[in-house]
Amino acid sequence: MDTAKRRLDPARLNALLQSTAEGDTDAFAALYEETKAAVFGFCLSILRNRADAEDLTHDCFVRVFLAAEQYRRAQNPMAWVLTISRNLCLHRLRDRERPTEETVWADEEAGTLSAEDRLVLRRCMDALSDEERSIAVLHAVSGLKFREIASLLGIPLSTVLSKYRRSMKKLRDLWQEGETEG
Amino acid sequence: MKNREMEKKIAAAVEHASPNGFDDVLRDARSGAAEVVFTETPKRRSGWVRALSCAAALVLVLAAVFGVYLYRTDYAVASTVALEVNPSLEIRVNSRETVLEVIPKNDDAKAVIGDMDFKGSKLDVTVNALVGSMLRHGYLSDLANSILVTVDSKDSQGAALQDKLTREINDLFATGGFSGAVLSQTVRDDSALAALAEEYGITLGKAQLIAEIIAKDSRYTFESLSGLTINDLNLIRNSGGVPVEETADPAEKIVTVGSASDAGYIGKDAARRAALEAAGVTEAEVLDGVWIGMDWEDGVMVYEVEFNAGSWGYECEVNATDGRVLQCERDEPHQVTVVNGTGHHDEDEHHGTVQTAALSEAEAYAAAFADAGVSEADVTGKTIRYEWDDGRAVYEIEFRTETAVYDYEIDGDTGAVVKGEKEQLTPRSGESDALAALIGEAEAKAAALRHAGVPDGTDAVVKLDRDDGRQVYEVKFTSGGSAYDYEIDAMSGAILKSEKELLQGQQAGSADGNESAAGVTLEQAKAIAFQHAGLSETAVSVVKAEKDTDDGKTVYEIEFRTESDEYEYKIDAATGAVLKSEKEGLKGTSSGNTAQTGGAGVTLEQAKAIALKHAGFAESAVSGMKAKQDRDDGRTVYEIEFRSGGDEYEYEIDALTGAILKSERDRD
Repeated sequence: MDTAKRRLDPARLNALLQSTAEGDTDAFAALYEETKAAVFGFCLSILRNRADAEDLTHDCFVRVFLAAEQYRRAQNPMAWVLTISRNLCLHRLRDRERPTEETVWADEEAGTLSAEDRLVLRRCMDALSDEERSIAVLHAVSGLKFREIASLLGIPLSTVLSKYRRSMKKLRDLWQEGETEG
Repeated sequence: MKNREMEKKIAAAVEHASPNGFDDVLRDARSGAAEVVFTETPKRRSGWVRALSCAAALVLVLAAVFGVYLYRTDYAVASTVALEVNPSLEIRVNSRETVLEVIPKNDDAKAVIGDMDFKGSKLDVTVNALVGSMLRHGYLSDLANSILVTVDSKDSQGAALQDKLTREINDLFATGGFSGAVLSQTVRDDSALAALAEEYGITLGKAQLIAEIIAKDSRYTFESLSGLTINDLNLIRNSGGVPVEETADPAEKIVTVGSASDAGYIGKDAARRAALEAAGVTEAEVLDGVWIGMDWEDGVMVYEVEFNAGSWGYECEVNATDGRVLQCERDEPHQVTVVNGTGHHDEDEHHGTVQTAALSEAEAYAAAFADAGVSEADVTGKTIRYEWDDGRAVYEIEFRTETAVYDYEIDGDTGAVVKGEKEQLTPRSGESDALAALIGEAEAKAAALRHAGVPDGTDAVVKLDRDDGRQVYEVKFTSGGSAYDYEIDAMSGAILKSEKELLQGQQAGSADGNESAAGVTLEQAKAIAFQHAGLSETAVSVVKAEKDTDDGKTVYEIEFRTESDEYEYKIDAATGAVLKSEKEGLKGTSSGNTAQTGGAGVTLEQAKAIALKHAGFAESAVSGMKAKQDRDDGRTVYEIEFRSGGDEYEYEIDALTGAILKSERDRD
């Protein structure tokens, strides 16, 4: 199947959003499947907590379904969905009284994840700053270009580029340092 | 590892962790939709209440719109101005040119900013203060006088802002009697350039400057230029001899006012004298002027000096810092470089002319084989190509023997070897040496048993393995109800990892700490682990401390590290017994990388010596020595580069065995 190739193609996401706006739940299901990792990853990068990220992914797609009519074709559909995610996540952050140890990613949350997946996520959570983490995750999973990430996060392109570079260097160094850690 | 591979790991992990909750989403989305419909059902209200609520709503809407507008204009970043000398900093302003933030991009920039706080100041005041501080701190001086101003603006004011700032900085320079060069540009969305900037860790503005230089002269690469200061880049950019502002090239996006200072270098006159002297040519013998440009070669700024004398064309390179002549070449009489009226080197002189070589192909082959010390009978797959290279007729020859691949360039007129390169084929000679240098399974086992304090490991299993590009022995054995797992460096015998884990059903009798029926707390578990490792809590940083379930039993997993080692413990939450203890040396610390320091490995210095010996030079006889550690084909190698007598040498030395994996000589 060419699902991997179809994934995150803006034209296709566009069509899916249009159909969703017309109430086509199959299109909505496809949209969910193809963009949930980006939404979840972005939320996780902001909230650093799997349960919260799952909640917000849910809330985000409910919002996407209800607001699909307001989506304008001219926008990048992925960026639009992620803007909704970002707003919801920032609300949630504000609602948290203060981030306690429990709200931070911990391994028991990883559930059925493989050791490598856990390690990657834990390092993203521990080693990167908030912005670095969002940039690294967005670039890895959303298919957004650096300048789209810059505009989504409201920071200059040059900052996005340098933070992206720094985050990758940190992660790569950690990876090389501890191939055997688990 | 490449960024792309790291990203793949992130993508996979996020993908696997992401939820499968579409049904819930759809259910809530539908009920949410129903709710919206419900709340919008018109309710009976009297006329004035409706009017009032409409008015209130209007006020709210206005407040919201106005509020958003205020927010946008006051706090939204409208433009970013980057100032770059060597200090590199970014100024973010709103649409009224009020500074929101000044961000240092390197340590030099922090020194420039000091304790000045610009928030709320006007952009021009801020730029004045910052440029003034750069002058005071000596970052801008007579020796290096170039500043690059890059405007990245969301609205159309970018070009106007660029003009204004250039004027302001020039005024500031003029006021202080300082002769500076201001390069300015407005960056555009260019993803290809952004990717390059990202790759080399430089700002978009500097990337654009480098891109312009490369567009003019394709000999340069991003890699070679990315480390230079703005002033050096400006010098190279202007080295065509024609001031940039006079060339009306529409492709150029960078505007320059003033010219770069080469006062930090010996200057064109000194370079000219040095080159003429080295060539044995007097001023009177020079035919039609001397062309001098600046260039970046092998990590040094150089003056390139070109001139004609007699029937010869000369090309010299002079170190711009100390005036040493690095190289002087004299071209064959029939290839005299043509110099046009402006003194500018005409690069196209040979286009369209077909030059024949004096040497036949067979003679060229013979010259290459002789240099390589191989007989024609041993050679397979030879190819030859004739071409003009840098105004010289050359044969490019490739061939291979059973053990190596050769790559030669032979001068088509003289038969001289212009370039000779030899690369060993795998299995490389280093491999057998490497095996011979290993400590052996018996020694590895003995080292592990000694460390564990176990007299005989009858069930020990020893396996040779590779970890992080180094060879290790994995040693596993059981004793006294515990399972041991060791990693021993196969070259040095150093213990890289030691792990001891209690076997199932054994923990009750051999508990190592608090044995409380009530169970232990996380804090107690940490204390047990630290005590077991012989460390105090203040000496470690805890990476992880959490409760987990392992084989149906509740345990604490404690991970911590010191500067040199990483520890991993499992503590039984019921009894406090140490179920697993693991200690691993951190790689990259001095003790970790035995390839460099172990007796059997080769140090960087030794690798240099090996390369120099092979080339037949003393270290004092070579220049531009570059040596670095690298990885190639899964092994650690040293890359050694140096030059001598106009030749460039490049070696690859196996870091484990010292074997020469590649040797290359290139006459340039």
